[in-house]
This record gives sequence, structure tokens and C-alpha cells, in this order.
Amino acid sequence: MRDSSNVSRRIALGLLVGFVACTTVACGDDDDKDGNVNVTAYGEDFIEKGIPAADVDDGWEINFSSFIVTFQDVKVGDKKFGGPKAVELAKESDGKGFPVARLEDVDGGEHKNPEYVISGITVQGSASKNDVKKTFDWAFTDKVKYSECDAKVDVKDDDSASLQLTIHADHLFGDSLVSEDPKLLFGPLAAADADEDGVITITELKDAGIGAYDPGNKDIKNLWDFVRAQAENIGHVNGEGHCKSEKQ
Amino acid sequence: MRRLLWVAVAVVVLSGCAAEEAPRIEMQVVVDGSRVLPTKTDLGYTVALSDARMVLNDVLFTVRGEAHASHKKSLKDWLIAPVYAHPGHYQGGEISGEMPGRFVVDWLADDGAVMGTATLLTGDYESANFTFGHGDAGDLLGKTAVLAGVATRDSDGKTFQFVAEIVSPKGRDLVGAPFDLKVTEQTVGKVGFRLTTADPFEDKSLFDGISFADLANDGELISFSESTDNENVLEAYYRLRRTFQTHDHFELVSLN
Repeated sequence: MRDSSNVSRRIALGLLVGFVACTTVACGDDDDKDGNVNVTAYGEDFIEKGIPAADVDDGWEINFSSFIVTFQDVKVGDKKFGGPKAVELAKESDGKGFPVARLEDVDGGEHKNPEYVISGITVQGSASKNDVKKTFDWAFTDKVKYSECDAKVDVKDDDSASLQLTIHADHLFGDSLVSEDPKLLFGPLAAADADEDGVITITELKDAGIGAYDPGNKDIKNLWDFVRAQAENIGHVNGEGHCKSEKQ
Repeated sequence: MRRLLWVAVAVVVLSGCAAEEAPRIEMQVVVDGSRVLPTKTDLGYTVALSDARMVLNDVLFTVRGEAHASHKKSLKDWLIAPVYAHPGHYQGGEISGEMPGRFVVDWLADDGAVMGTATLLTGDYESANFTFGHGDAGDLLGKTAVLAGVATRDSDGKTFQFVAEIVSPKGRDLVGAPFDLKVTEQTVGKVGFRLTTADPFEDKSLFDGISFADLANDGELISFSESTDNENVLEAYYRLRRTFQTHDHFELVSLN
């Protein structure tokens, strides 16, 4: 016959070990040494080289001569870069992106849910289809916080930790704010060039209805407000890592 | 030793690592046509529907705030998406109930008919989501909804008959239809699924912004559809579809 106190002890220890494991895995290891985190911003090929016509559902080719994003309040663990810092993303970076900040003496270990703020975006470029060319020069001044980002930053004492703030320019041209798989279109924006001078101005976009575009539950009635709403979703981390976005 | 055991058990249970099942109930969901009413629009029309049907899939019910950990565990096979801001990513509350399946609803001919049975974990519900579907037969074939009726201009009595054939994008979700109900193990009754031609919370009509007189002559039939070659009718169709696809015009309510 087994000793009942022994069984109880084993159950109790098992439960406690399980509880400790359950909590410490989520919290990281306090024994890791502090380190630094290099934060970069990257616009991927779509910003650096342009969006090919083959990737745009209505066949327009989109190129950016300038795509400046202003970052601030970049936070990993308990360390924050206040900023702001404006970064030009429309240059070739060989996949490396461009430096935004270096967070020093971040607690060692794994940090989840990094966050940052985009406080401004200016976009200059052109779109072409057949013999038609349209240019644009737009500034988005909405301040958007990206939090609970789907990334883990593993901080070690060898300066190897990094976080990439990835900007998805194609989101500016989706036809839906709610679809998982929106079409990429430029035609409706091109058609907003009411005076046909080849320049799509913000005023012209404000005067244009959104047609078949789908704003979901948002009360959006013109193309400029639609594109502004799209611009609230261009921030990601480490490529495809999503964040919660919230206009400030 | 026994004290240590109980402490360990209590710690584990209170830590949220426990795997207890949350209480759940089932409630019938029925078609509720009581809010398909004549509605006055911002452009001075009174619109009365004689036909209001739609196809939808997979109704999900969400609770206020964060669901209890045990809800998450019980619902691990359900769609519990994180709150990610990205086109198409779910941004409502925590999903805590569901009524999976495909449903064809006729608010006027089938008022009170049973759509299905929802399974709901106990909780304080605030909204519901569903996916717009597409019909597979009859005049709903390939369409999400058919709305038909008469618009009467209040100023001069001119009337315009219309039929709207709404086609939503594939997989288009509606998020945040009001569903205000505290569900306990003692909750009984049915849930009514409503189309609300007038927004119950704001002074808005499903047909706001549509100038029927600019689209047809007195007494003529207007066919709102994506295949029309009339640009003005097409623009009005898109406006109607946008409004129809918002949470402003759907509601789920407790019927006792």
C-alpha cells in the first residue's frame, strides 16, 4: 500500500512545479543580462522599388519617389525611444531598412508586444497605366499608435537584438477596410483627378465619392478619408507581424 | 502536508491555469421582422419594404471586455482572433458564443421562424458578428440580399418602385451588431435577428442619400444592382450596399 502522504506530496509538488512553469515561461528569465535593441524601419520592395502592375488588380504600376514616415515612442520592454524621427524609406537598402533608434540597457530575455507610434507620413510618387501617368503628393498627419505587436524581441548581451518596423505601402490602395483580402486598385484614385492635370490632389480626393470601396462600419464618404483610414493600418513589425492600431 | 496540497490546488486554480468548463446555455435564434418598418430618409422619402431577404453565415456572439480564461480554453476551436488592426482583422470583443451554419432569412414572410440554435457561454454580451453569404437558388442565386419596395417623396407624393439586389464581397464580415444580453445559466427565451430599416440609435435610414427622383420617373421601377449600366443607379447601389453592410441596421435582441 502506498503512503498517502507521499502521494499528496507528489501531487502538491507537481502542481507547484506546473504553476511555476506556467508563470515563468510567460515572464522570461531574470538571469539574462541586459542588452541593446536596434530598431530599423523598412518599406520592403513595394516602397523601395515600387508596386508592379502585376500586383495591382487594375493594372496600374505605382512608384514612390519619397515615402517618409515619422516614428516616435518606440517601446521594447521598459525602454522607450521618444523621438520623433522621420525616416525616408523610398531608397534602396538591400533589405536592411534604415535605423530608427537604439534602445540601450534593455532587460535581458524575451520581450513580447513591442509598440510604436507613427505621427506622420508623406508620400510622393506616380502611377502609370498604358499611356496615362498620375502623380500624387499626400501628407497624412494622423497620429497612430501600434501596440501589442506580434513579435518577440530576444535581448542578449551581445547587441544582436533587433526590431523592424515594417511599412506596407500597398495598404494605401486597398478597396476595403474590412476584407481579409482586399483588391489593390489605383483606378478610382486616378479617376479622382477631376481637372485631368495629371496630379491627384487631396482636394480632388475629398471631392470624390468612394464608389464600390467598402469602409465597413466607418462613416466615410470621400476618397481622401478612405485613404487616410487605410494609412492607419500600414504599420507592422518584422515583416508580417500585426499590431493593434489606434488613432490618437 | 494536506495543507500544502490545498494551497497548491488553490494557487493553480486562482492562477487561471485551471481547465474548468464555463457554463453554457443554448438559445433559439428566430427571424424578427418587427423592425422592417416604413422609414423616412434624409432626402425626404418614405420607404416601405415589401420584400426583405438575405443570406448569412456563422453568427458569433461577443462579450464585453476580456473573456474569462476558462472561456478561452473552452473556445479554443472557435474563432478567437486577437485585436489586430489590419484590413480584415477582427476588432470586436471576445467571442463567447456561436451559431454556425448558413441561414436564409425572409423577414416579412418568415417572421418568427427558427433560424437555428446558438450556444452561449455565460457572460455579459454586447454584440454579434456574422458573414454575409450568397444564395444558391431562386432570385437570391449569387446574391446576398434582395430588398424591394416603394419610395414615396413626401413633398409631392411621387412614388418609385425599386428592387435592390445586393452582392457582398466573398467572406465579408459584419462586426458589431448590437446584442445586449446578460446570459446566465438561468437565462431562457429566444434571440430575435432583426433588420432595422431605421437605425435604432441614430436618426438614420437604410435608404439615406438615395435620391430616387434622380434615378427614374414617377411610377417607374428602379433596379439597383452591380450590373446596371446607369452610372447614377450604380452609385446609388454602392451607397445602399455600404449602408446595408454596417452594423447600424442589424440587431439581435432577447425575446421573452
